[in-house]
Amino acid sequence: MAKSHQTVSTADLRKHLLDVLEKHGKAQGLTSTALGKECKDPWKKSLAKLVKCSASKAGATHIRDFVYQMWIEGLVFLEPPRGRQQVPRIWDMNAARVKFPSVCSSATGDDVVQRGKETEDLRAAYERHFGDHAGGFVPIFKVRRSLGWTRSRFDTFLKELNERQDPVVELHEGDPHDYTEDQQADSVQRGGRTYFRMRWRKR
Amino acid sequence: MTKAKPQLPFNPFADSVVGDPWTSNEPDVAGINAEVFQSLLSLTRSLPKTPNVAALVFGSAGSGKTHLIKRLMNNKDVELVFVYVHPMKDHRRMFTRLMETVATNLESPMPGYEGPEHVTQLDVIVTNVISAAFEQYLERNPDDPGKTFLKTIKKNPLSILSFIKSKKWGELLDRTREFLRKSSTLVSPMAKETVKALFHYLDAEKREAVRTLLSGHIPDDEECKALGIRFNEGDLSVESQEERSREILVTMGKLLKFYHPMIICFDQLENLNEPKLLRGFGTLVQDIVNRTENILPISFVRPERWDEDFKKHLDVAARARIEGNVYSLQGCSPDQALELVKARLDWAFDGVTGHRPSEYYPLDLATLSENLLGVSNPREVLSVANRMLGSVPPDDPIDVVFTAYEAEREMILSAQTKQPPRRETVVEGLRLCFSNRGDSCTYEVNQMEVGGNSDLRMDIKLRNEEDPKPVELLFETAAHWKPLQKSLDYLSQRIRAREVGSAIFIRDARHKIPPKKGRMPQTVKRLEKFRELGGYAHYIDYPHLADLYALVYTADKIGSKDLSYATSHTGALKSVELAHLQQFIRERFQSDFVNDLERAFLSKEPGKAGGTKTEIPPEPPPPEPDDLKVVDNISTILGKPPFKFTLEHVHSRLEKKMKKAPDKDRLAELIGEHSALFGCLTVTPPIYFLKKGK
Repeated sequence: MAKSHQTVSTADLRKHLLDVLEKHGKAQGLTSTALGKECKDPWKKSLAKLVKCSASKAGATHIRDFVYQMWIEGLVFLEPPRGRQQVPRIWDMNAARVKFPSVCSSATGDDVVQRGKETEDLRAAYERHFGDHAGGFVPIFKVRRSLGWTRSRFDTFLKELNERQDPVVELHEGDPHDYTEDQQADSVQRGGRTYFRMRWRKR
Repeated sequence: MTKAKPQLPFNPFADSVVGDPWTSNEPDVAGINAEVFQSLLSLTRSLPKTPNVAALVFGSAGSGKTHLIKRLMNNKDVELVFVYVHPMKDHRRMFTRLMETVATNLESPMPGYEGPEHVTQLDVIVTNVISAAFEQYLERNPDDPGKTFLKTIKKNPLSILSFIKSKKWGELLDRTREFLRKSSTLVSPMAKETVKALFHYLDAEKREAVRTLLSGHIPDDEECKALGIRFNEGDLSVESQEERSREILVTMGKLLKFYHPMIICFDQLENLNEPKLLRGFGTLVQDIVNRTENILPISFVRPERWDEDFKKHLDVAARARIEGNVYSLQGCSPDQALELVKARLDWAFDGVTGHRPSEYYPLDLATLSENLLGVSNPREVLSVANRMLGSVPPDDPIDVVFTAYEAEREMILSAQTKQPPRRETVVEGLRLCFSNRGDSCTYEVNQMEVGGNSDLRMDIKLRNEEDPKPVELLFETAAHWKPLQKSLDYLSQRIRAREVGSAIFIRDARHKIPPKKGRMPQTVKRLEKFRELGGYAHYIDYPHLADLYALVYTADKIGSKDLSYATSHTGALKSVELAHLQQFIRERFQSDFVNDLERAFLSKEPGKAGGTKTEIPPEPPPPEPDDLKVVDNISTILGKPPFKFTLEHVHSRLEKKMKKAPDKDRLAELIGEHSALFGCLTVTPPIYFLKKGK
């Protein structure tokens, strides 16, 4: 894990956090404070660098935000507070599937990591075009072409991010006349509607 | 025994397009786009410290742009003066058009104001200015006996109106002028004239004149005299009028320092479909930002149109100004989507007796949640609920246009405040009509030009004739005799020089020539001369004005992708296109006024077809006893279950009750004229109800 002060990627930080959760949180999950403690200082310093705050200030709030984003993307499970327990507990998805089978899907841990990577790639492709489109309404065909994924992989993944209980992206219809035929074809279809633009939802 | 389940009195999901925020009253879900709403409020709050700002709000069709505007208008957190602007159509008169709208909006009752209904936004602005001056005077003259009123006036500046008949009123106004002179930069001649005129607004007899002045036009001679203002010959040009309108807005901004800031919401901007309109709009916003204080222009536009048109045609400085603060509307979360559906159901069931088995009745929550998966656009959410209610979206786009047009027209007629005559809206309506005449039409329009000395110039070619006939139409809204004579002289000159086959002078029927017996003798002569030469003078009454306005507003909705129909093969929704509106005009649009104009320019005998005589208009008749009887009967009808009725229903019940029931247009107007008694739910078609306690 990150011991130097070189920039560490979000993916590395996430991987380390998932390793810690798997190792220490199997029985009863971890609170964000406990998770921070287990992740150790070098990890926290790297997180501080990533969120652009001083190492001394990188505390539980930053860890909670980081975990929250992972929860949005389906990488970890957050057990809501109940009974005497005052704070939510964080679980790795494999352990959560055993403990909370009715609310966790059956995807494997590898799938979850893979989806996290895909989300990052999609976000990077989206942000590449963000500056050209005030308001963040980026044409889907541009993002699709930047990624170069197969048609079905892109469509399925984008719709999956949109159809969550707490959606990650929004899909927007528009005027077909604004797009050429091939741009329309590289947009996304659902239920007879064509969605031409996407926007990352603000949290 | 099981309790009876209530029936939905109307479909609250049928039309998910918010109309004019002044009249629409759909329920609001505060959580949707709360962040953008709060940001706009905070921008408004900071206006006194950071005056030169603008805001730009992006949102796709149906994402709630107009709804957000309505929320701003009704907000209770930041007091503000509210102005809503429909898309502009004439690039040469942008400021004039803006000030016409500002004047009309300032004449509307204060949003959320619960006092007497006749109190307008402008009343409150003017009384606050006078109160501020009074307060400052008492600070310097603490022994003045007027200090006993200070507490009351500070609490409610409108109470200063109780002194209007007092001998001291004149002194109070003089002191206010002095106060303004010393404490602000209202030094230009136009600023002084505007301030002078504004104080006359509190006199009911002079309101019309002040309204005319505020909208950038010159009031007639007698009104100018009453307001104590003077104008020169040079003030009549379009350029002068634009500059005057700009100056008036600057003055208003300075006066708002003593009250609350103003927000000007420019909605449906995707309808600015010509480069010159886009550039004109850019200059307009730039001028507002650079030259006015306490005014925040907010532009609402679809993101595609910004990328495709605005970015290309706006000049860099204007774009930078408009883009000063950019916000994007976000769709609903699944919880908000459910909340939206519930709010609409509560709205429809309000006042209905009977036990609702569940909050979402008659919809099933589990099915609704499933159907809403991935649906975040508020309009799409309502459309899902609409389908679940068993309502089949119309699959004929022409029917959609027809229904939207009829609802729009009915709402114009039944609104509490009548819309003023607007040159650009009438001309745009006529342009749409004459460019899309039906197949049975006996002529073709070879060429059409909007603007210039006349408003609309067409080359009409009759099917059985070789040469086209040039026709010129002019819709004159001016109150002063000078622009009226100028227009009549221009058209008369065109006839004399044989440069035109037909010349048509149109005027709003509420502003006849002369306005009163014995007034404007020279203008009356000019009008008679114009008719003798073969010109046609037509007055357009309010229902016919509503025909044209409704057509233009429907076109704007289409431009904003606000109307949709179901494609028959998949049931998916598709946007109505301008071509559908054109087909609607050709096949189903009917207007006697347009037919009259057509007869006029097709007539072989000049001056004989359909022209209205220039006789003195009679004094307005006292309210007919029949009207009062009709109002009584409407109250009785609306007071019975299901308590919510369409105009059609009210009319058919009225026909059974009365031998001589008014027609539907008059009925709508009567409902609007008695808005203290009757409310209107702005769905399609509109629904009327009796206000509580009436």
